[in-house]
Amino acid sequence: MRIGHIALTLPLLLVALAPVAACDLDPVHANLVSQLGPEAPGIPKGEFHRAGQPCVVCHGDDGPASEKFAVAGTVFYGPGTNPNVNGQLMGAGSVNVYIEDGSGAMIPPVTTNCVGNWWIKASDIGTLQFPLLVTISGPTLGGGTQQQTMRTQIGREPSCGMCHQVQSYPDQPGAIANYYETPGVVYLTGDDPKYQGDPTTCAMSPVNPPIPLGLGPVSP
Amino acid sequence: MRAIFPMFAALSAAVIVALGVACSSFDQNAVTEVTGPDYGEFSITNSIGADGATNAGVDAVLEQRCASLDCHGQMGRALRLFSQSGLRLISQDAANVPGGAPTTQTELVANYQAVIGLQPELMTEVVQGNEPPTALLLLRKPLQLERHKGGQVIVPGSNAYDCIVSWLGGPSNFSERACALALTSP
Repeated sequence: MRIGHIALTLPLLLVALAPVAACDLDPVHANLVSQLGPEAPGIPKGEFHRAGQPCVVCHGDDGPASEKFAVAGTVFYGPGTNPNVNGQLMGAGSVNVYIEDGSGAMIPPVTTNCVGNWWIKASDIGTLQFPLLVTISGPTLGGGTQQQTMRTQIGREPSCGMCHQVQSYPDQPGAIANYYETPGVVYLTGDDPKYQGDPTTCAMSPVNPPIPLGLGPVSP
Repeated sequence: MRAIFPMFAALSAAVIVALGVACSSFDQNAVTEVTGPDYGEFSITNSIGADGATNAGVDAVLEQRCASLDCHGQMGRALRLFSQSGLRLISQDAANVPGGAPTTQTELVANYQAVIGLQPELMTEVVQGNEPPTALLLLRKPLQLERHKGGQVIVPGSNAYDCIVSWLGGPSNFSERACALALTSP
């Protein structure tokens, strides 16, 4: 009789708990995912989506994305006055990302796609040994090559976009002021219009990705 | 069984009263005096000295090793560090942004206060020579003598180690050279 009760109760309990297990039980992570908002109109999930956002928030162990990244980010051309992009952010394609890990080993370089996104899958590299040193190098429209090396090491954060955000000023409406907390997004070049490419050459518009303002760095 | 309940109730009441007394009797005017290491040695900015050697203080080493925005360059940290390349102290200076102007004197003072205020009583004991430098979290964490989410960022005997330990050992022991070398070596 008792065994019969257990046999009946256990499946019911599992069914009742299934929705809970499917939910994100970490409120900090759930909040971060929520802050990123929905997909931008016209840009489906895939290699071109959510340029500039902190990729590994979703592409990490806690999901919800199925593909796990060890480290990932987006590189932009500097904001300029090119009429094609009207002073907005534009992803920088064909930029090589060089990473030296905490053991001193160079990770095989990866290259940004045409919206500036790059990533290294966790399955390709296993556990990444922090701290990391990063250099980016890519072509300019002037025919040269521009290189930028990050001044500081990356201590633990696998998403560039967690620290490198669109800078919002204290009096900017609708934004949490992060003026003193972020160096801005990752730029390949400075504020020079000649370095800005033609957005029509990319399958997806690389211009002005909808990056949430003021998503502060969080290290639980 | 019935005898246990009154005992439990009395014990609970005593605990509640004790907690109430403990929480209401703190001294609002109490001050913890901290004897800290030398501020001047802490705040030496990275520069080339008259002898051609590079000069650096402890802050420069902490800024490089610890103060990135994803680690101790965050306002919520007990050891919260401002730096030129990381978190900035809110100011009227528009250049005071990450990657902008050099670390300001106000930020250096705030960093110093964060370092000595992390374990004020123990810091005093270390500076007075009653405890070893490795008793402090300032070293225990980066040496990974206890859990540190950032892993081991300082190796015993390295220039960074010598820089901080020599600073804690007093003015006659401070090795500005070790601090400078720590900026260019692992």
